[in-house]
Amino acid sequence: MSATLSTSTPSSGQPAAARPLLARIARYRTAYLWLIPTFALLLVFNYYPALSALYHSLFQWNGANIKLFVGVTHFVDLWHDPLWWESFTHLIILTVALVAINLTFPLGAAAMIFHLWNLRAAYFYRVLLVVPMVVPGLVILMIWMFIYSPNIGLLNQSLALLGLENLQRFWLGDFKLALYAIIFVGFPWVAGIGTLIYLAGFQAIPTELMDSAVIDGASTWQRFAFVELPMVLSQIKLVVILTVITAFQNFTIVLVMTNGGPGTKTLVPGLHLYKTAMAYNRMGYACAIGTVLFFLTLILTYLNHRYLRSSVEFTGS
Amino acid sequence: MSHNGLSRRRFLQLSGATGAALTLAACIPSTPADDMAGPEAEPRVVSHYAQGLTPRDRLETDRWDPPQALWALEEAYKDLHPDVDLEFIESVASGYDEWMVTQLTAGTAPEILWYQRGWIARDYEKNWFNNLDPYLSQPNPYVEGYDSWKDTFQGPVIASGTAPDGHIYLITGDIVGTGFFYNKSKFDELGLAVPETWAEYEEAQQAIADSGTTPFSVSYHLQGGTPLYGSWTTRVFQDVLYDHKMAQISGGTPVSRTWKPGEGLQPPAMVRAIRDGNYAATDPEWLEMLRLMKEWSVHYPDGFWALPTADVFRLWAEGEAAVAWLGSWMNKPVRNDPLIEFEWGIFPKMPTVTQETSQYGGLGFPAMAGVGGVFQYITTTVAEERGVLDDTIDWLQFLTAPPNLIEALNDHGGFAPGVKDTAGADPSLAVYTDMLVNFGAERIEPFDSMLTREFVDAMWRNLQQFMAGELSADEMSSIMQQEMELAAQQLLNEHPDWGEA
Repeated sequence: MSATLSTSTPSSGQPAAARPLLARIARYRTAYLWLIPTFALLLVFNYYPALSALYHSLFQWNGANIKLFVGVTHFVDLWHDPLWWESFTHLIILTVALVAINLTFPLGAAAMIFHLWNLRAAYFYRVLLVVPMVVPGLVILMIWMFIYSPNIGLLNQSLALLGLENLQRFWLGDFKLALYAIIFVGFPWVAGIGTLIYLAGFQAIPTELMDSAVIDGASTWQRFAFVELPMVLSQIKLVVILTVITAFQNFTIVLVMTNGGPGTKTLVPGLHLYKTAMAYNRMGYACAIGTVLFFLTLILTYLNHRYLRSSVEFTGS
Repeated sequence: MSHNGLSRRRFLQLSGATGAALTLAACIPSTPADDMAGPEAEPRVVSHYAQGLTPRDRLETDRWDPPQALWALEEAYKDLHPDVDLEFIESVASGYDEWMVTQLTAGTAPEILWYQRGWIARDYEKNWFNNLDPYLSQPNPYVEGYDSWKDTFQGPVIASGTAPDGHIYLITGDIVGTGFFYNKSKFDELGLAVPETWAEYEEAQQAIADSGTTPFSVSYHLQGGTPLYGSWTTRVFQDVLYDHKMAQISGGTPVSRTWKPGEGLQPPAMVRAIRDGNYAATDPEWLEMLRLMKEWSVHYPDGFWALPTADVFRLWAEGEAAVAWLGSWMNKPVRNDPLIEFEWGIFPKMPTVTQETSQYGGLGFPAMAGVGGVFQYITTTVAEERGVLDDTIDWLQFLTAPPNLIEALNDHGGFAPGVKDTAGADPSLAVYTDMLVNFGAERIEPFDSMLTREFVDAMWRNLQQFMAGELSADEMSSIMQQEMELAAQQLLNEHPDWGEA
């Protein structure tokens, strides 16, 4: 209600909602004009491909000369596709692991930086965590491929140096370990956007709140668990959403490091989609996979919003 | 004091409007070159992805000279055609097929693309590339003494680019081969001779293993390893093991082993054989292939299914493995690599699987070699849309004039020319062409190009698991039979005429 009141115009004294739409657009035409490029780009590069994928998921389409309407056949086929279910299982494992990782390591790193008394040191560590983010992701993956390399890799060589040859593995080629080796990429997982988001959340906590907790005799752990953590719940929610979306969309890591192998032990739906489209020319079926992934992400994002609410929402007002 | 400058609001409005106008201008397609023709017209551009012939500067890390001949040929061509600019596309690191399909689908492909001849049956109806018959039937203006451009090539070489509709879509200009490269010093040290039979070879491998050296360097990594070594192995083994059933598979016609592409079993025949039960992954011959491969794998490097493909050569070059299956494209590296400090040689042929080793043995292996390596190019249909198809063809005609082709291939060092006039060709490549001509090429290759790409991927995934001990032979056979039937059915749906002999 207050929002409606705030848009009323002093000159007319008439609520804006009551004005004809075109008149309102005309009045704020400059603002609308500025919005046009943004929405035009969104329409062309985001909404149109998404709607096109939904439309093409109903066709048997090879991207070139064959395009037959097949209704929901692709979705039925997907339900019976063992590769889809296997890749989806891997995706769930990866998502759960990544959410768990992003809820702990970056949070811990951000909390430690936040609690540093020396501001220069805090600034230094913050920069230290940001710098690796400028390294292209592909380079990091290549470095990890080298680390995992069975013959000359850093990991196996280090294990040999420590006399732990019995622990040496063909990490990315091990049928039981490959998926976990993928999860381990980026260890200790603190040099990412998650740490910065958490840090911003910690820094936004009112100092009065922290001071009163100290006066009330709360221990460091109690302050973290019962004051700071609830206060960064919005950030946690954001990180969870971003992690889930990234996990569902991103297949670069498996494409580059394992190509879904060994066998199909690291195949994820994104890679299944990519191969189906680009290698097998089954664009319609690939669109169906994309559509299902889109709706799954949408549902998970909604659930996240619905059930993971911050006890206090700072609106800045 | 009066203020004549722009207000902040006005400045922002003007900046925004200018930015938006520039963005829109950038989105407008450029004017076609034809419309701008005139004395000052821009040169027409022909872009070319030349795969292994793509010229580049030598890097500090290079242990041998990279190919550069196309730069010299480009210069010579520019002297003749100053109005045409050639643009060589940098190498596409991995996932070439996916990259190519994306470019072709989007209509953004270069005018000339490297293309595997085995893909033609899959793609020829998609209007992605041009039928070259009208050009091949005309003389090549850069070659004298031949009636047509087609006539300048060795018959089987140029015919390899023929699609099921009978038209040629691919310019093929070279011959490629593979061989067992062996560490002669190691063999001499152990008193081993080049084995002639598989049984002798097994004994030699055991002796090598006992000496602490890996007998055979190979990779079954999914990133290149299995598609290469898995493909070669299954193809040559099947040719031998299925020899007695070739006529049955082909529908009654005997299939002789030659080096001419198109004379082996073709996709429609394979599809019918699968449909009619004349070729199946549950066949005893198929299971025998799996048995031989599995037994051989005990002599492969530890964790060979996880071994990066580049390590196959490294293990051999550093003396850690005694034999490596390498291709003619390694001819130049092997001769120039300072890492190799031993005497080496190439088995004149693969050791024969006799009946002592397998009940289906007896016939010698074919050469794992064939027509078309680095020089297999299609001209994409976008060349016509961009108005440069004639320039594109002209550049290819220039490039395939025997002296030019041989200059480019000699500079690369790994491929023999596929033209009739081979004067000046690198004689060190004769070992591969001799093997191909003497032993012929495999007649059956269902895993590379005859069935669907989806089937091929399933084959390599499961073969890797089988070789790594994650699947039994029976499981592998059963899974692949299902995949094979699915692929055959899919192809029959797409090409109903394939169902009739």
